[in-house]
Amino acid sequence: MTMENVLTVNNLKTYYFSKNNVTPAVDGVSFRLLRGEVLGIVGESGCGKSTVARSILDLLDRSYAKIQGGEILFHEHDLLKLKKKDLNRIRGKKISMIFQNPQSSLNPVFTVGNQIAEILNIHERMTKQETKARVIELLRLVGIPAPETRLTSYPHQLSGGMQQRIMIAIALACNPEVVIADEPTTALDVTIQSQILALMNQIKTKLRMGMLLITHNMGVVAEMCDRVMVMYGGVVVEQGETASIFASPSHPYTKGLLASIPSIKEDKEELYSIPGAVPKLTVPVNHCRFADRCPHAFGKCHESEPPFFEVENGHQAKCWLLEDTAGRTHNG
Amino acid sequence: MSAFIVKRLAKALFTIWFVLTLVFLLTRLTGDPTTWLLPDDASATVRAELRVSLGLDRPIVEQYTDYVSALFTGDMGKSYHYLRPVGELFAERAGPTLTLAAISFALAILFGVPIGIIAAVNRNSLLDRFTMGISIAGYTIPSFVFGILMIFLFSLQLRLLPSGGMSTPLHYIMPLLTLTVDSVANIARLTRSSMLDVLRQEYLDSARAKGAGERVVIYKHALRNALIPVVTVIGLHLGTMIGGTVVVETVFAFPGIGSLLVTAAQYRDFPVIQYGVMIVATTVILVNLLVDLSYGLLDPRIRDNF
Repeated sequence: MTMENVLTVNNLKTYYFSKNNVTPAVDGVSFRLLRGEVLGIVGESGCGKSTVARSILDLLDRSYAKIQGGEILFHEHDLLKLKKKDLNRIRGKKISMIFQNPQSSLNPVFTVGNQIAEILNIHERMTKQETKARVIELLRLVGIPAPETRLTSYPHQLSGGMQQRIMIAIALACNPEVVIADEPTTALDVTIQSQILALMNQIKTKLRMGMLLITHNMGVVAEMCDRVMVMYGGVVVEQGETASIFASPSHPYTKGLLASIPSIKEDKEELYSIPGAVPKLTVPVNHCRFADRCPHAFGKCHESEPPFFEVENGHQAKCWLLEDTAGRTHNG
Repeated sequence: MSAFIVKRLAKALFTIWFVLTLVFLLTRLTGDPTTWLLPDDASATVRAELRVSLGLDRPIVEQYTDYVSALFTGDMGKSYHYLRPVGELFAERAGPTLTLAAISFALAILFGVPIGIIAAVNRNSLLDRFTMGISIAGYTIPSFVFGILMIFLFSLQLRLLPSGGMSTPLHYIMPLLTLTVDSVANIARLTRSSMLDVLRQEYLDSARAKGAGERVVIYKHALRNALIPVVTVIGLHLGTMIGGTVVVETVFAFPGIGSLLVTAAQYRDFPVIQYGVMIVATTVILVNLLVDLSYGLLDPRIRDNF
C-alpha cells in the first residue's frame, strides 16, 4: 500500500451557534486518510462525527453551523479556501458521499437512472449512449438485478437496501479518490445492513479508494476499518489501528463502547451501558469532556483537558490515566 | 392511467349535470321573471300570456327535460331581457372576459411562483419580509375594495387610467390588477412555504454532494417537488378568478360574461343564468381535471396510484 495522503484534516473546528451559546460540535479534530484505506469515525449521536463529514463537503446548515478554524486538505488544496465553483468540481468527482438515509437522500420525482446520470453529466464529458452504458455498469457493480429495466424506476419503487445501492452507485460513478460514508447502514434492516457492508467491502478492495466510514456501531468498525478514531464531545479521544484499539482500548470511553457490544458467550441479564448522556458543552472547554461520566475520573480530569498519550505505535488516547505509563505526543 | 382518466371524466360530467340541475331549480325559486320584464301596471292577462310564450306555465319536469334536451342540440334559448339568442350574447362577451382571466392567470403564475421561490431561498431577509408583508396585504384586502381604491387614485385623482369600459388596452390595467393581486399573493405565499419545506430535504444535500450548482439544486431538485401543492392551488385560483370577473366587471363597468351574469340575475333572465353558470362550471371542472392529471406528471408516487 502506498502511503499517500489523499485527505488531511488539521485542527478542524466547527461550532454551532444558537441565541445563547456556542457549542463546539467539532473542536480541533485532525486526521489523515490514505489512499485505499478505510478510516472509521465512531461515537455516540451528538459526538460530532457527522459534523466532520459534512464540514469536508461544505454541507453544513449555514444558519447555525460555522467552521471556525482548521484546514481540510484534499492532496494540497485546502477545501475551505476554495471558491464554490471549484469545490463543485471536487464534490462528487473526487470526494463523494453516501448518506445515512437512502429514502430521503434520493429525489422522489426523478428516476434512479436519471439521478445516477446526473453526476456523470456534471463531471464527465460523455454521449448519451456512453452515459447510459456507464449507469448500467454501475447498477451492475452495486448488485442491482436487471439494471436495464431498473433505470426507469423511481426511488419509491425500490426497497431501502436497493435505494442505498443506488446511493453507492452515485457515490462511485466518477471513480472518486475519497468516499465519505455517513452511517450508511444505520437506517437499514439488519440483514440488509450486512449485504451493504459486504458490498462496500468488495468495492473498496476493487476500486482502491480512501473511505471515511462514520458509524456508531463497533461491529461495523471491526468488519470494515483499517484504522479508527473514537470521538466524544467534539474531539477525538482515541485513535489507532483497529486491531490495536480492539485489543487494548485505553480510553475509558472506548472501553465503555466495547463493553456495550452484546455478547452471546457471556450470559448476562442486562446490557452494559455507559451511565449519563453526552454533555452539553460550551466553549472554551477546559476539562476532560468525558470526566462527568467516567468511573475513573480524578481531580485533574476536571481541571484541564488531557493531550494525546501514545499507547503503542500509532495508537493514542486522550486520558490523564495514561500520563504516567505512556509517552506524551506532540499533537495533543 | 387511462382508467383513471375515464373515471375522472365521468365524475366531471356528473358534476356538470348536477350544477345544471341545481341552477335550473334555483332560478325557478327566485320568482316570476315577468315582474321585471313588464311594466308595473301590466295586467294579469298580459303577464299570463308572456309566461305561456316563455314556456313558464308548463310543469317544471317538462321545462327541465326540454332544457336538457335543448342543450344537446346546442339551442340555448333566447334571453328574456335582451331578446336575443343566448349563445350569441355569450359569444360577444366571452372574448373580453377570457382575455382578462387568461392574462390575469398567467400573471399570477409568472409573478407568484418566482416571488415565492426568491422569498424562500432568502428566508428572513429584508426582501422576504417585504414581499411577504405586501402579499398579506394583497390577499386580505377584498378585490372590490382594491378596485374602488384604484379608481379613486388613478382615475379621479391622477386621471391616468379610464375607470370603466374596454375600448383600449389601458382599460384592462386596473381590472387585471384587481383580479390578479389576490392570486399572486396567495400563490407566492404558498410557493414560499412549500419551498421552505423542500429546502430542508436531504436529497438537496445529496445533489450538492454530487457537485451540482446551487441553481440546479434549487430550480431542478427543489422546485419540482415544491410545485406539487402549488399546482393544486393554481388550479383552484382559475376557478376563483372566473368568479372574480363578476366582481371586477361590475366595479369597472367591463362588458364581459361576469357583468352579463349580474344583469341576468337582476332580471331573472333564466336562459342566460343557466347558460352562464354552465360555462363557468364546465371551465372550473375541466381545469381541476387538468390539475389532477398534472400531479401524475409532477409526482411519480401519485402516478402509480392512478
